[in-house]
Amino acid sequence: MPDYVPVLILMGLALAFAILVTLVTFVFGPKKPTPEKLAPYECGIEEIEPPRQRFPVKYLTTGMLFIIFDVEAAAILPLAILMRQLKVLGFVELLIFAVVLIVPFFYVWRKGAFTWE
Amino acid sequence: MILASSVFDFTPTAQDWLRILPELIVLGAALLVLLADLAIPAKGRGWLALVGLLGVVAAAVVTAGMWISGDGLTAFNGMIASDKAALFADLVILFAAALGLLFSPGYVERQGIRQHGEYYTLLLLAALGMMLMASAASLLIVFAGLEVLSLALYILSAFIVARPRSQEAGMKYFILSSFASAFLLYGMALTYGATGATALTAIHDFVARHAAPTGDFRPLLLAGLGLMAVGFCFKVSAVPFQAWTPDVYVGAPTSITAFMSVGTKVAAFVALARVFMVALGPVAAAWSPVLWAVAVLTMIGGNLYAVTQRDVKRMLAYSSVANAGYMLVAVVTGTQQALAALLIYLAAYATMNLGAFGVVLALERSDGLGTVLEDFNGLARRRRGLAAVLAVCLLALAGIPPTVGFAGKFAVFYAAIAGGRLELAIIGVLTSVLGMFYYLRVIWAMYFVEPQPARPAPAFVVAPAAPPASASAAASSSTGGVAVAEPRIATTVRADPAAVSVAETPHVVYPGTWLALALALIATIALGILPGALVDLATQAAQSLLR
Repeated sequence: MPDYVPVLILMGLALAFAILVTLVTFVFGPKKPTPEKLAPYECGIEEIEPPRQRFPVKYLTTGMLFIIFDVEAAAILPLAILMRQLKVLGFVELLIFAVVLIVPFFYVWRKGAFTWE
Repeated sequence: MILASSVFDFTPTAQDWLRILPELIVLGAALLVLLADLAIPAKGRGWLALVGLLGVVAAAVVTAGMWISGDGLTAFNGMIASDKAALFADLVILFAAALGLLFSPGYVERQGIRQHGEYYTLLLLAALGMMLMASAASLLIVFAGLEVLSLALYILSAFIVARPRSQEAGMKYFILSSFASAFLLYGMALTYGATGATALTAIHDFVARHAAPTGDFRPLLLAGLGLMAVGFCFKVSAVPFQAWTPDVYVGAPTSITAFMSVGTKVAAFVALARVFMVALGPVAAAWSPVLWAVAVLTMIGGNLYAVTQRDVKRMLAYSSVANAGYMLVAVVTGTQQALAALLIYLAAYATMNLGAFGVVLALERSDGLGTVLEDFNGLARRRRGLAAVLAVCLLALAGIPPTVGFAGKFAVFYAAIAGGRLELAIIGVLTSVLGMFYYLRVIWAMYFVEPQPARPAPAFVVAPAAPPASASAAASSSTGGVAVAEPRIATTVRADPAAVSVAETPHVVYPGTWLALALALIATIALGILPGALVDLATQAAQSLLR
């Protein structure tokens, strides 16, 4: 238990500091709001239309598929780094992983998940 | 430091791959089904089940071969076990998957499910996750297997897109089960923190060396144990955590309910046995009082809930809760004999429960209704075969002697008495007597109750395909001119044959379903009359795990 005391102290300090800074700026900071200041900030460009509106569900499918394949491609990287230690069977492992990835890719492709229209 | 270097030095060999061959075959079958779905025209999608089935049978053959000639060692640096306990669990899971695949084509077609390829792939992936969880030799693989099976089952539970009850089942299962997974994972993290290991053998060595001799269970280890117990108890639907079970089991497609009620239990209980009975066995004094209380609550609660149910599918869901209680008795007892009894009970539960759910599946109409107790009135006269299968399976669930259900209950209670848990055996026997009431009530309805003519009427109101107008039109046309003058008398006179034809499910039972029911029936009776082989296999499996 004594090993964790410094960690607990640090956690307490971090929490106290966060609360303190928020409180100080809230109490002492000058507040002169203008419409420009209250507007949502997006790269300094003025808002063209309200962002909260309906958008095609097709974005969702594409987005989800992108995330899946993106994350799984990232999962290959550690394997690539260890490839020399893992030798031939590491390569087999990578191939199995790739097959598991490619078959569903082929499936969603043929099912038309990538066609926009 | 030592841990890191041993991971980097490790090189997988061909032996490692051979030890997980059953899992690899199931994975291959799942991918093959996806590809076959693209190649097979829409009409022949039932053949996808055959592709999956071939994979499952091949995996079962390989598993049996590994039982005979495998080395029983762990694969991938002590991550995945291929001991006989794992192979035993794999065989039961593959049996459940095979029957699930046989049940599916007819049922899927009747319920209007269109995404056949995804359905069968997810079913096989769920089986893969279950096998992985049951073979886990490391906390990490326990969790990975659990997630693979859970993610597939969340989707499958909600697979009947047009039915709100199915959507509800998927959503409830997803939210509650993810929450429970978080408990389990947190418990694993704390256990790792307390013992410095995720491999189950290393955890065993640590607690045997440090915690058990002194009786000094540090708070970190206790917290880890407690959180893991919560996670596992949720997954096996033990009583304070059972609330999700009836809703999910009723709402999910019945073919999936049959498969997952068995497969998830096998996977979760074998993993529970590995983690608690084996790895944390030396500190049993820390966890057995908790699981003792859960077992008692589950036996009493599950049976009491089941007594009050009118829907047979829901009753079977609560019966699965009650059965989890009997299995927990074996876990709490903790001896090698109890572990064998647990495996016997799991196999017994697989055969009888798959048979019972299979009959419910065959009777369920395309609107998801037709499973209330009244629908079973006089079933023996209308559907002799289905009624007979259901009767045998319910007798087995009740624990009547010439069936495998008796063998399972006998093994568990005998092991409990031999292991010094007499009170659990007594509670178990008493609650089994309570259980007989609701199992035998269905048999009574099927064989000794006349189908009531008035009952099927509400089904017409609910069913969108048959509006009430067509019913009265059919009645009046069949009785001719008299019905126009006095419709009320006409319907009461003519009601009997008309009502029976409505109550009778119009659809045919598919050959695959019959085959699956026959397999379940044969296994239930054969293993009940000659339990020796099952007991022998389970004892070998238990010896491989707990020496």
